Amino acid sequence: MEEILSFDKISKSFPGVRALDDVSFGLMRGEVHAIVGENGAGKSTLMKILSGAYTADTGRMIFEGREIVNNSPKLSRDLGIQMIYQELNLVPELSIASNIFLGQELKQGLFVNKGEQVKRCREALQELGLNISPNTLVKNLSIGAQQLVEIGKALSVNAKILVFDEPTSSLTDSEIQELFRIIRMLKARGVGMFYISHRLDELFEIGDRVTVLRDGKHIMTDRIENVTINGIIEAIAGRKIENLYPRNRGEVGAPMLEINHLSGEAFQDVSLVVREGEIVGMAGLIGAGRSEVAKAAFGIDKYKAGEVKIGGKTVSRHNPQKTKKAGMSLIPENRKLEGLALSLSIRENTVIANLQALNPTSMINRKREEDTVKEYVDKLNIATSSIEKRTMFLSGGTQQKVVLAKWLLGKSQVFIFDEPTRGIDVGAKNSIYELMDELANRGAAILMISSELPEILGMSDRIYVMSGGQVVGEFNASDTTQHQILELAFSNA
Amino acid sequence: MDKKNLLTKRVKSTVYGLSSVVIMLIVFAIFAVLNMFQGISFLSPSNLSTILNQASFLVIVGIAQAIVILMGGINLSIGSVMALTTVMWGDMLLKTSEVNPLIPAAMVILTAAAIGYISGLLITKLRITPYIATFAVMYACRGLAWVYLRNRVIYGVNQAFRDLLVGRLFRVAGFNVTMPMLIALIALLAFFLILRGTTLGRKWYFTGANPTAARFSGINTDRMINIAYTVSSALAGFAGLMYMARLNSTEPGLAGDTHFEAITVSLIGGFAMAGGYGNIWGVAGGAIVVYTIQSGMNMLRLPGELQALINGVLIIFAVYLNQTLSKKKMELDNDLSDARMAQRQHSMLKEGASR
Amino acid sequence: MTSQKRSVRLSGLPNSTYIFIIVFVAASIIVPLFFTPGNISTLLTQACALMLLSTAMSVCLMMGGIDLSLGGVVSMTGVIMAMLLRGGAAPSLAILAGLLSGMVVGFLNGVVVTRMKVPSFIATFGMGGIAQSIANTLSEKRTVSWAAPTETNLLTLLGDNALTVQFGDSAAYTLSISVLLVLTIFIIAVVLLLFYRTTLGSNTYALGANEETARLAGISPNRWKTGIYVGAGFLAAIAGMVLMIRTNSLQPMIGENLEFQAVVAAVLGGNSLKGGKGSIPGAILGALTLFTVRNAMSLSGVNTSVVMVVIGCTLIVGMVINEVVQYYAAEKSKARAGIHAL
Repeated sequence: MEEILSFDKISKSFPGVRALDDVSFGLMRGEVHAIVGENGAGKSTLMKILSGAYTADTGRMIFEGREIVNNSPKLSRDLGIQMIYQELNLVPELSIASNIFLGQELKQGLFVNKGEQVKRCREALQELGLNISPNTLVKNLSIGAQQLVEIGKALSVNAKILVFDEPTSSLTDSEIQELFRIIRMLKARGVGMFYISHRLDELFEIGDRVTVLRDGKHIMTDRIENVTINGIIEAIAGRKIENLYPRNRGEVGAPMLEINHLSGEAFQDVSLVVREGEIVGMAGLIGAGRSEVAKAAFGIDKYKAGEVKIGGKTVSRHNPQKTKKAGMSLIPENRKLEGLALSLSIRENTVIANLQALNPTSMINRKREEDTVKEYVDKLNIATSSIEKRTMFLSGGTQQKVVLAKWLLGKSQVFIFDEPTRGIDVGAKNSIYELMDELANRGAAILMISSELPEILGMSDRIYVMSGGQVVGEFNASDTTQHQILELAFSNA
Repeated sequence: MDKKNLLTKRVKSTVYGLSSVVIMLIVFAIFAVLNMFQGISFLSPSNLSTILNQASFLVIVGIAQAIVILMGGINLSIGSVMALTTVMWGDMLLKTSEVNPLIPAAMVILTAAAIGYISGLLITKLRITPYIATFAVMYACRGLAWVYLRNRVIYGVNQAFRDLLVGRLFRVAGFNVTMPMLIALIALLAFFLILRGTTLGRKWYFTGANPTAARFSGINTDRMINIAYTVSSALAGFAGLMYMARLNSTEPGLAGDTHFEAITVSLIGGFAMAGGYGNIWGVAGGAIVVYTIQSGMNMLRLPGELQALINGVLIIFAVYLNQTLSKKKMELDNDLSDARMAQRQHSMLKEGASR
Repeated sequence: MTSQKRSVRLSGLPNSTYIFIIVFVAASIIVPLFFTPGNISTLLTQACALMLLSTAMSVCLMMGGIDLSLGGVVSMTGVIMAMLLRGGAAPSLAILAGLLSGMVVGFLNGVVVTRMKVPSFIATFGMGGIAQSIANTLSEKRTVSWAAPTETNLLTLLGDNALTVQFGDSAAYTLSISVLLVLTIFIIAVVLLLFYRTTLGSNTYALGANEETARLAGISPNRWKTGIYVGAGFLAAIAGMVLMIRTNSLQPMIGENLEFQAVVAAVLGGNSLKGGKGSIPGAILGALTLFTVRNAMSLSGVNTSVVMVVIGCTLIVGMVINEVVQYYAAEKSKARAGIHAL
């Protein structure tokens, strides 16, 4: 087998983060090359550099013996490098055939030769082993089928390299088998494939080689026969700095947040409890239903069954106003969409959840507001030239601190942190950990959802593991390992 | 960054933030020059007071529209609410009526508020887009007004009531100060205070800027939207009273183009269709621009029909300008604030060194 | 997975079918003179202009835009044609001028939306005001009429009936298909042909679903958007012509509010103001629904103002029906996707 693509010393930095650090490895023709690592390890960044969405700071990419210069989305596509993203690039209101031929329709004069398109599409689908009518509208297909159509689309332009980004995260078992069958077929045709997945068992089924990235660094690349699941998990986790995680907590008290048999669209029969002065971690893979539980508990989404108790009292007719009043805060997963109004200032964003408490008369006391915001800007070390700065101009870490300030300002005793440190640099991470520790020390109950295991182990007193919408395990942080948690998280994914 | 550079940036930022005033000055300049050639004094006190008086009516409907645009919505029913509510209670406002005019006036505003609340419910509960929901309400209101009054016209409004809403207060150096001006000023001040000085206003801005984040912050966004449409409609009812007082009559066709004018006024005033951006004083600028063009064209004896053409060009131009300028202003403000910080640090360092 | 799986397909009927059937059946039962050949032919001819406009509007909505200038363009092109006729121009020339001017406004819409990046809502709203103002200025807001032609020409041809069938003695039992109706149907058929047989349709849906997807597929968003606005201007001009010929004169405010009605028809037909979905037949059925309501009520002697109220209510009921239908369709397809993937 010959190498079709190689990464040569690729590095890429974002403000405050070194996303990729001197990464080199290659892809063979007809190979399924798995790339694994934690969130933020650099997998997506590397693939975005390959697709031309980002440009590497240094390093080269060699494709079929020639260096790719001035890469762009168009150039990489023309070269035959195709991405199959999780969010699909299909037009829901069009048929499979129209989607596959979008922008490159077969024509007969002015008119689209639909008959021919349908015929060729059917052939292509049959080649992929799919018995499905080319006239089916994409919006009526399951996600899995849409993914296969996306693959069909990529193949129709003669892809030489395919990149799968978490292709199986929303597929059922039978759909996964279908996908694997097609991947094997493509392999036989000599297509090189990168396969990004959190499901390690899959790698052994479909992968030829595996590369592990951690903190932007290339850790290992080896043939799949030469490694074990344990070996990969160790490589993914690595060793982390221990003192990153402060622990000055006192005694654990009474239950503050109780979720009993909660069921919703994406989770079933979830029960958990968080006590006064305790930080409880919630581990699991993306799509395990953790954020959905958090949103339901906070009253953003409706749930079907079960109950939520805050401070021992059941919250009925759930909505965020009520849960907020009952003393609960949710620091959401997506700070740009759910956390901030980006066109408004730090001041306006910081006080928004506590307007009434700060201004009991409903008239805004500007002086008190400014003083309060300044206090929190100092306390959280928010790097800004002015509290009037619009939050769109702040870095990710600073934005996250503004969201934190918004919720710390209130009298909440129950906090849910959903991926509190995603995409922010180590320094900012540490100060967020210290804040959480201080909160717990003062008696707050904290539920922390995180996909970073070291963070979960480092910060939590107890840990719940979710998988496939259910709580599959509970540990004391002191007597568990990353390994144990990962195994469980992968269990019924 | 040197001082001169900083100053230019500050001036630019201020100018960019008040694009409606800039447009207003340009429009004034054009008409002043054009009219000069005709030997008419456009800038005479009496003409200016006429402009301000008439623009005051547009200020009220402009505010009504601006607060829903602030929420990322639109209210097409303003004009028809004005017609329906005044038609419903109009007979009680006539000279011939025995009832204290304040009672029907209050009923007009209450009825209008109720209609606005219904629009709000259509939008928040039935999830119908504002454009469609308020269009349906517009149709229904206009229709009901016709059904209620047939082809009659309500004429001869109680004089005391007229004086209260559209009377002249006093005259200074040829400039008439009138009730509408006072009312518009009070309304602008009131909404300035509501938007900038109360928790309600803050929640409105936040909901308009990012409804999802607002919900995640524990704001009852549905309620905010309902209130906005209710207030918008109540203001329309009040504007209806003013129009009725001015015309000394009302009829089902009252204020046929007002929703159009109101949108023009608030867009020229710098409110962004996307929501969450706009300064209520801009509405005053927008109203003056719209009326100045109307009266300026009259003075030039241009056909009134051309009015809508200018409005159309103006809307497109104003939105284009606002879009470009607001983005630039945000960037400038950011640079400025960083620069000030740098200066402060620099002077602190100097102080430290000199000690 | 190899077993035969039927494609998951929901009923292909446009949303407005339900409300149309309800309204139509109700009208036929309640209003005695409604379901007669004479009245149906009147109804169809009356609905011509709105059907054309709804067609244009639904394409604009599907690509993620909106064209609020349609009403203004109807007035403007109508006035231009009528005034040229009054001035003695040949009918073919007058009509050509009208069509061209409609397309020019459409082109300007496209330029303002794609180049100046002004939201289509505002751009076309402003442009509609401009077009209406041109109509008012040219006509001085007076109805434009022209001398009746002494011999057969294009105008008399278009104003004639294509087919008349007598089912009885009275006018109510005379089915008369006007040339205008035939022309409208022909034009709509051409649009449908272009939409569903050329790349127009798929590109429109792609633009409406996600402009980035379209761009990635090599579709130039600016060019297609501008083209669609030009087409919409053309259809509006045809609508202006239809109204002018039908009434044999032109009232310059004729297009007022027509764009609103077109939006309503399109939305009743399942189009969304957010773009990416809907259909042309749905919009046309929506237009027919509106005219059925109007026609039935005027037949039963209901005051025109009550008609407005009823139309407003029909709109809300129609929207609610759409919501309900969509909700159940989504639930159904969700359930199905859950059971078997393919």
